[in-house]
Amino acid sequence: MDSRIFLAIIAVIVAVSGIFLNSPFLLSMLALAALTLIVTTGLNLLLGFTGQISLGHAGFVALGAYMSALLAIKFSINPWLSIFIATILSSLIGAIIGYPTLKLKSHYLAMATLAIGEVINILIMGTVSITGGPQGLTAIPMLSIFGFTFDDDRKFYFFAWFTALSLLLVSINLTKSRFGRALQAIKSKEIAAEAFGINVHMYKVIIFTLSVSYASLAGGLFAFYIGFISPFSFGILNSIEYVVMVVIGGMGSFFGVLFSTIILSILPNIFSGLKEFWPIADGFLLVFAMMFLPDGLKKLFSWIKQ
Amino acid sequence: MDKTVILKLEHITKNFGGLKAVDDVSLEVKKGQIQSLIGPNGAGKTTLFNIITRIYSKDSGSIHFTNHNLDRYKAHQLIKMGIARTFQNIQLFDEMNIWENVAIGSHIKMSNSPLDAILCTHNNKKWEKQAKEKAIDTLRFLKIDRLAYLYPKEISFGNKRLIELARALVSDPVLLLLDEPASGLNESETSKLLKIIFRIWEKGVTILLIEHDMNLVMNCSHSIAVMDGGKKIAQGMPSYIQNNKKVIKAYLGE
Repeated sequence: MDSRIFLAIIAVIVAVSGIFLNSPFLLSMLALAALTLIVTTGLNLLLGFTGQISLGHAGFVALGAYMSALLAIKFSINPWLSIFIATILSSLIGAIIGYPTLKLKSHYLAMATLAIGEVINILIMGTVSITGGPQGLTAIPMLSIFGFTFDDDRKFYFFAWFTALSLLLVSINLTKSRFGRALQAIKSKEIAAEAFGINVHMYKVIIFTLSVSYASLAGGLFAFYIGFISPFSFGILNSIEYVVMVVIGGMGSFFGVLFSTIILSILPNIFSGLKEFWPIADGFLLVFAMMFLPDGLKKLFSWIKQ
Repeated sequence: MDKTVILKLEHITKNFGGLKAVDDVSLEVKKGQIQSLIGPNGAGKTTLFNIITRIYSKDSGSIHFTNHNLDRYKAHQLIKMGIARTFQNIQLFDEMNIWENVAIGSHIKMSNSPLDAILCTHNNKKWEKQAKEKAIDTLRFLKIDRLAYLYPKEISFGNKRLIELARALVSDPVLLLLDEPASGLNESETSKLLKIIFRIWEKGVTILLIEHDMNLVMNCSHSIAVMDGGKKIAQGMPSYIQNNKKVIKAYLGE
């Protein structure tokens, strides 16, 4: 089955669920899962398709969230425009950071991205007069368009899923072309990819930048949905959780990552009493997947699609 | 530069720490010829290939391809100029099927933009269709088009070597560098490879071949250069090389 048909089926399921679900808690949880899906789809392009790890993606989500919120609060810029500007600026920062960083390989790259995520978090914590520091930012306005305000969970659920599935479609289309083949070639054999005309470093920087723009966009939408952001929502554990979602879903499998993102976003909320144990579960899942499920849910979805 | 010379290497030297892997090697490859490069293991042949294809930087010397000084180009720019290669250790992309592996060779010649791909435009469909057709046509030329939808792990070693060749051919090379294409092949596969090399040469492609199989080399080469210990010790026609004392010594010892 073509991935795009599969995506259309998922879009119908999402739409029907949005109409019939009546629990604001569930709708809110699923809306947040859609925002997480935006981040993991971008990370999947980087990690799953190109083979480049990032352990600092939560930092880029924070960058998007704080920049768009600050633009809206301090400069009274329209929230949509704020998100747009923040996404562009974050992408630019991503490209500047990615250019030297992506010359590193494997665990050196992992350590560099981990450090970048933490530096962003420390900067937010430290610049109290601008970001509110550990207290966070409040009074972030809601999103509205032509008088239609996304002021309840159902409205935002539809908007968040529309955005997430649209970006999923963008990513599927991109990877089903020569660009997807180039990314997979880089992941598999860099020297051979280079010998066949693929500018490996440039591709890595572009895909890292795209991945950062997804993370930043998700961060911006998160800020305007929740109305409050603090650095604690964007720490190292969040970065690791995104990686776990991609690994469990199956690196390079958009649908596997879609389902792992939904499941792993919802489970901690359902078992909220065990929240402090969740990072341990994340670590366990990552080790388990690496050892026994190296393809994650990818094989399961290949089978379903067939 | 002599118009009949397509590739000219002058005084190439490459050191790895204290080891002189390539020592003052000069070589000319004439247009439309099959030039072989032989020598015992560790002679510096593959290092020289990697220097030509800009995977390694050289310590000194110059390389000209037609009228272009290759120092000004990066590894990924050479395929557009018409230089394609295969690898001694097979370098297929495991997560792509065979036609997709081959289509990588035409990546640089395609003009569909990322936006075309995202929006699934007519231009994107046209280029993707062409890339797939060309990949399958090239597989057909090598008589292995039945493998198009399989994955590298599902095919034999001999066929993997041919897929590498197909990937290089799909880029319409002017100069094809083959790094030990017969390595690991049995006798019948090697004789099939010899016929393929001739068919490629008949299409007007100049070939620079590294090979240990002397039957193959002697049967297809117009000229043979011999390397030993990083130096070029002899060059000439197969009959000259076969009787050259330095070459015999390099292969058989004192």
